[in-house]
Amino acid sequence: MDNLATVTIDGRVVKVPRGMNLVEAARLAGVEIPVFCYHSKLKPVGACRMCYVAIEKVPGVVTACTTTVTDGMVVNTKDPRVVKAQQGVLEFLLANHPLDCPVCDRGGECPLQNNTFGYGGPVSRYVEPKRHFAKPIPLSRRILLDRERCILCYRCVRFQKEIAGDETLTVINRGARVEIATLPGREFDSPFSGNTIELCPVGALTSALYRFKARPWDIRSSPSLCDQCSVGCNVRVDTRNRQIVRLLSRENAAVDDGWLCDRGRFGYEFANHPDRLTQPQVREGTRLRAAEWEEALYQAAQGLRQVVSQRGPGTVGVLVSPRLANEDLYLAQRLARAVIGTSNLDYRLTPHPTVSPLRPDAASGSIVGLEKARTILILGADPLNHQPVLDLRLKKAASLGARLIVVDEKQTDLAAFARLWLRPRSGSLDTLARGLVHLILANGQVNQEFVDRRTEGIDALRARVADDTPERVAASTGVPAPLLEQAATLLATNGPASIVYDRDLGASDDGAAAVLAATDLALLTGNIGRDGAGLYPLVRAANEQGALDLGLMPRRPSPPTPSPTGGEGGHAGCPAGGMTGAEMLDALRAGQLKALYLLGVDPLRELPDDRALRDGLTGLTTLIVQDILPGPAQELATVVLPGAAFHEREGTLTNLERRVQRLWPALKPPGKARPDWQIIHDLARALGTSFDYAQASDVFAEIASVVPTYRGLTYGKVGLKGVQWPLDVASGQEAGSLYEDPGDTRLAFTPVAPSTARIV
Amino acid sequence: MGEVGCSARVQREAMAHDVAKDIAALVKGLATTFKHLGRPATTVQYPEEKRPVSPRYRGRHMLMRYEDGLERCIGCSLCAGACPSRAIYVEAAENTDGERHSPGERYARRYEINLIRCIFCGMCEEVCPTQAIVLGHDYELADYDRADFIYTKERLLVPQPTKGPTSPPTPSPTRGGGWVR
Repeated sequence: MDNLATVTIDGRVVKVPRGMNLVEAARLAGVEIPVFCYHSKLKPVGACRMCYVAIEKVPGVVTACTTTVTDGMVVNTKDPRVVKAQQGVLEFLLANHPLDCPVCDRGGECPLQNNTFGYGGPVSRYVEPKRHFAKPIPLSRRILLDRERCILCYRCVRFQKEIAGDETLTVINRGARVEIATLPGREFDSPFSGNTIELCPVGALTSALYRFKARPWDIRSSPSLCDQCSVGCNVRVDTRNRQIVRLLSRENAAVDDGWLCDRGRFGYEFANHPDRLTQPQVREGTRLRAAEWEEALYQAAQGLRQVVSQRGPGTVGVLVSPRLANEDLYLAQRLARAVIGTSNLDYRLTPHPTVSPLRPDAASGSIVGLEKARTILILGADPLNHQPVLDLRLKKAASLGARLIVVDEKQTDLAAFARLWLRPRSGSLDTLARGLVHLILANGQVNQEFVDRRTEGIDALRARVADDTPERVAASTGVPAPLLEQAATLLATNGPASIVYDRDLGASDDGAAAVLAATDLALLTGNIGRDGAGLYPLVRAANEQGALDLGLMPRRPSPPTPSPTGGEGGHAGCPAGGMTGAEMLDALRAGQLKALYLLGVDPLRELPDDRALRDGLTGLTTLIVQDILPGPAQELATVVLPGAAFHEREGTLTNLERRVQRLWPALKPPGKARPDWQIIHDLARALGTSFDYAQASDVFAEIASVVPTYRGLTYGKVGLKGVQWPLDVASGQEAGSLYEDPGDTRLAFTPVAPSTARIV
Repeated sequence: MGEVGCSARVQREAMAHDVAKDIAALVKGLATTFKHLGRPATTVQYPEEKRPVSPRYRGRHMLMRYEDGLERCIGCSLCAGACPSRAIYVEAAENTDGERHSPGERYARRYEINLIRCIFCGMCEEVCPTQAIVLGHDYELADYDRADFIYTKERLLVPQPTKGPTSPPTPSPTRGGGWVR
């Protein structure tokens, strides 16, 4: 093969891609080359000089990280000159590096320790005093810098510049006085600052939260997921004494590329909170008192039964948190629909947004697919605030050559990385999006082959956007016509193109129309159904996608209830209609709801203070609150049930790219708390059903059997890296892109009136 | 039937022989007793009287101090890592200038050894970078309550600063904020 080079490293012959550097090539050959400054995700700089190798026909020794392979290269990593040079490098590094390993948080998992052990000399000849600095100095609330320990590999500075793109760290002074520092007068305020702790090959950058909490041998580790946003970054949970002491990245190239944001990395304190609910409580007069599970479940079941028999199931509501796992959500909707008999079921407290008419209601592409895009339209989305690690992926795409078009009135983080930043006036997003559709149609940049073969309804579309000429759009949005022209041309001609927008955008009137126009743009340019071309409605909460998939909202097809005989039992007894979360809250304010089951949600905490809402909750006959921490609604509850946090239970979460990923229990739930799916199961049994799930995987097996998109998934298949639904059961292939297969059904351009596309 | 008489005679003779042997043994034994009566005793009247143990004896652990009274232990948990029976628990915390327990940044806020688990192998002493933990000569460790075998830092820490020519010098702070010997 032309693009492969054959190299011999320590006698091992390997074929590696041309242009690969020697450190990576050696890794493939199974040979370790020690490094400090080199990192596979960062550009090589050759700063630490640790990766010396000897190459035949090349004089002296060279740094492996800055040397690319050539065909026929013969490399020796154990040459006496290399050994001597590496010993010298380490002796110089240790001339100033303090030997305070016993008190250093990196001690025991430190590349400098390991490399010194593996490649260093027996003694240091350096006896003079080392340099001293005040230690440590805080760079931010989270990150501490010990300048004595720094070996100036610049990994942190390079990460902030190359990956995070914010250049919040820099190098100051010259020569022997060089230091890592923040910009003058600023703190280290990057939202990705925590990654530098993991990157630092010594204990120079350490976490203030983890400081002196544990040594590596004190820790038990367990794989898990970050549940702070919908990206679903893979984490390693390190626990000691039944507490989380830190979260580390567990690299999953398809999801997080090995990075975490600070919100995820440092946002675990809620799980360690001393106020965690540990015991079920029941109301006795004006106060709550601790109770055993049997009593609490009995009271909850009695309360629900009483309301259903006296007022009917239509007065019962179930509100769930979109951070709960699929197993919890699935059982919650079964409890509501099949056991209580109500469709007053929702995962949102605010009105549902208008969404793209394409089904299934999910991102069509994958996160890693964005790297293949040549053009990415970011429409009213701010991933830095809502899906931070996706922000890094979009920046990576930009650095790989993708042209970003940011459409946002606000200057989002990505605007600085964009080829074009269009700033429509507030409320004119729809006009701008339609203007782009108009331009593509008018300029004849339509992907005619795709439109003819896969879509329907283009004539209606043409008529609908006929008036949205660039002049008019420019006048009403304030975006100059030439910019619109450039954006439309990029989208239509510089493919593959992806369109990324905030799914909640559809909650506003102009956003709703913009979301529909975004679908039209994707279909017109044929940018759907392959790598790099897709439509990405970004959900926000950790398992919002799972809530959508499992029908955790009224007026949406619910998973069929399995019948005892094994077949699908249909939706018998499940009323159509039902109230959304926002409608339920209105009904609550009007005193029309009589019983409410809150699973991980607290309207009083999540919504602005609302007297009527508080009165409504007070007036409920039965208020069951299931949560992990105390909240204002619990003061009004009749029964409080303690749930388990993400690291205390089994389950699965579905991220924004349809990837189903697993949670593992790292700890037991505190006190008598139980995983949420188990509580719902127990409550359903207390209500007299025959729910019978012994473990979370039983619930997941049922999900896989009744939810078509989850067909074929098992905990085993999901494994450590997750699977994007739908799984092709025959081939075992996961779906990177939806709509790949033409099939018989045509993709429809959005109908004229946006309101008909509103799902709720 | 003459054999019966013969057998009885043999029996009588054997019995006389046994008695003679027993008396000889008694005399021999008492001779040893009387021989030692005048000699100094090798046993001691424990617990009133105690033998000195070997200088390298590994008894109950002690947490040592520097000459100025600062704790030697820096809470590094290496002893806990080296302990083959996982008998040691260390919880570290940060020294402040207002509340300084040990030189440098870190000290042990909690230090506990479960002496039921401990096998007195001395690995903790071996691995300690500051010679803070030392296995002493105390072996009287019996107790009535299992919980009392958890030796806390308060019980392990020696009350007085240790002095002596062999102890390493007390670390002192440098201008930059570090501590050196």
